[in-house]
Amino acid sequence: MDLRTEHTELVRRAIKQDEAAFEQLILLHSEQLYRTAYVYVKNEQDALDVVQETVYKAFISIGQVKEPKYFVTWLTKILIRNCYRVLNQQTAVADLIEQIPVMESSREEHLDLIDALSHLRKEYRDVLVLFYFHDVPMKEIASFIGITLNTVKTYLKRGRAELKKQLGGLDYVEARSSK
Amino acid sequence: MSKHDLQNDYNQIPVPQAALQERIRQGMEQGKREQQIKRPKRLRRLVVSTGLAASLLITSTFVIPSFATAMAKVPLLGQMYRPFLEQENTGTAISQKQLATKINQVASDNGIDIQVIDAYYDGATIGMNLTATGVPNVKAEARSGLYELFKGDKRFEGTETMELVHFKQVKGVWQGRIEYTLGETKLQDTMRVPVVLTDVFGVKGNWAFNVPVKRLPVVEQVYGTTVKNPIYQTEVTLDKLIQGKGSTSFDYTTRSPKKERARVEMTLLDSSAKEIIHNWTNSTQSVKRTKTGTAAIEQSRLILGNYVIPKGSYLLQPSLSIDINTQPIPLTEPLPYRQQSETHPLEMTITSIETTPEQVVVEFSKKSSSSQSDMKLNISRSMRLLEGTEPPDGREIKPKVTVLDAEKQTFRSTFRLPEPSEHTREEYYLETGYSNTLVNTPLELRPIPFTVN
Repeated sequence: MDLRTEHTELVRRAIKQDEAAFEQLILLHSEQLYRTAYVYVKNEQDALDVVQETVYKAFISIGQVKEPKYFVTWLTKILIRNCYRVLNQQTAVADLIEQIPVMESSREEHLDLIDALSHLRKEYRDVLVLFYFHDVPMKEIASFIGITLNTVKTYLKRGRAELKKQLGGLDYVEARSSK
Repeated sequence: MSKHDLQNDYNQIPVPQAALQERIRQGMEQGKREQQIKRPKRLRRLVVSTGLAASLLITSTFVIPSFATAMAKVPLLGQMYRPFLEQENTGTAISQKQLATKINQVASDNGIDIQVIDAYYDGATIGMNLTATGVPNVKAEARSGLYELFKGDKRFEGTETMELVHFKQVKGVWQGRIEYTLGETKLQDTMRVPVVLTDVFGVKGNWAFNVPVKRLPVVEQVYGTTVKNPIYQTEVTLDKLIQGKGSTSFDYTTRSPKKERARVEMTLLDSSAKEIIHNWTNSTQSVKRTKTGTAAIEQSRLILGNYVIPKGSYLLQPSLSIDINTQPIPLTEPLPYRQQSETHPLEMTITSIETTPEQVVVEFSKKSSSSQSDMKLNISRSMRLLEGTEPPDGREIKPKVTVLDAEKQTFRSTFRLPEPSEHTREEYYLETGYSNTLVNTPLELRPIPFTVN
């Protein structure tokens, strides 16, 4: 059984409320879930909160997935929703204390990317994260966000340009998008 | 910055493995509890539940009071959070009775020493007690270790052999317990248990042990008593009781139609049918599942940790939760749309779906061929309109339900759409609530009488 078939089979079992299959799926995607959450919320504790909430919501609603091939998209959508919920809370707290806590001392190289992404418009960021980190096809992204395929392409283009400006040159993204 | 590789940067974001595993476990536990809440009958009369089984096949115990207290303060999570219950561990009874075998194996890495103090094998449960020294000052959520049992041993593949062990400090010593319930049909008298810890208190490393365990004397009673229900096409046989020194296990077999999964919950009653309440959360596990031409045969083991059943007469009451796989239907589904089960006497039919820009109105009927009082089914409460394009994204709209004809059991669910609606009619799906209702209305079989000599 190839990896894709095995993954599809796991999703089918999870949809039928097979807890072991669900857990295996989550563990397969756990690092990706955490990293994406981190890209959005920018600290470990909030990223872990987001993952936990995502696992919880996915667990109780896995039966709603109709097509196993959409599992990753579905899970990522829940994750991103939770990220925005946490970001809203962070904003509320920051408004309250009139400062945004930033842990400068723990900042590392990878935070360049996170910083750059966090400065993008929400629409561009979602599209870039889905396309580059979760390998979601453009057509699915369109369906996922509820926009047209052309709008996805526009967001990708503008998002890339904006990222390029922030990071100072991105050959990689251009290379991938031309595939 | 030149030639910045976006994915490389992404992959360099460090992942706190132990904390992540723990949060995944907590997320699943939250989900399981939510499902239990949605199943009031189970909660009310639950003695032992298959629903909670998987997570507790391995229990890593020792409650962390500060962590539990901290979690309890978190809104929402606080209500949901319930730490592992030490009193439900077989190891708790074994330690109290001083029946564990001294081991004293030590492994050291990165300045942390892990010692396996003792180990036990009782009934169908193996376990060991650990201590840790050289522990860094860490946050509450990092007071755990990630371990794997039986790595590479095909006999244990597919079971949850990778888990977290939680540590608590007792008189200045960090202590933890690993416990695992065996799902083999034939249990051996002695075993060697390979254990590897790879992440302890947030420190990565390799702490490997090979722990010998010898089974404590057990009393086994074979019964072979079967209860059948021809309407449900299901029968349950109580095969065997395994009475250990700190645990009691029941082996039983369920035969049900192949297409639908019958999950069995057992309630232990005394001879006068009074429930024997213990706050167990563990644990039933599937030992073996086979299929014949039309039937699914599932051998299961129910393990009650820290409970030794006294001599006497008892009843074991099986109830079946029928788990069928249904999918949300599009609003354009041809009507009438009927849902029924081979096992469960309930069926429902959707007779009409009308949509306007403001609302979706669904009319449906239900009927049951059983007079069992449990058949007060509540489809009307569990029907949902799911919003969004493929795939459904989890947003739900609850209906206002009116009874059209109580005698004929016909109903109308009205879903008010959000304004302005972002979606077309094709972007809504109806979750009928049928499968959820089946799971939530267990079918009771006659109790199985048995005697413990």
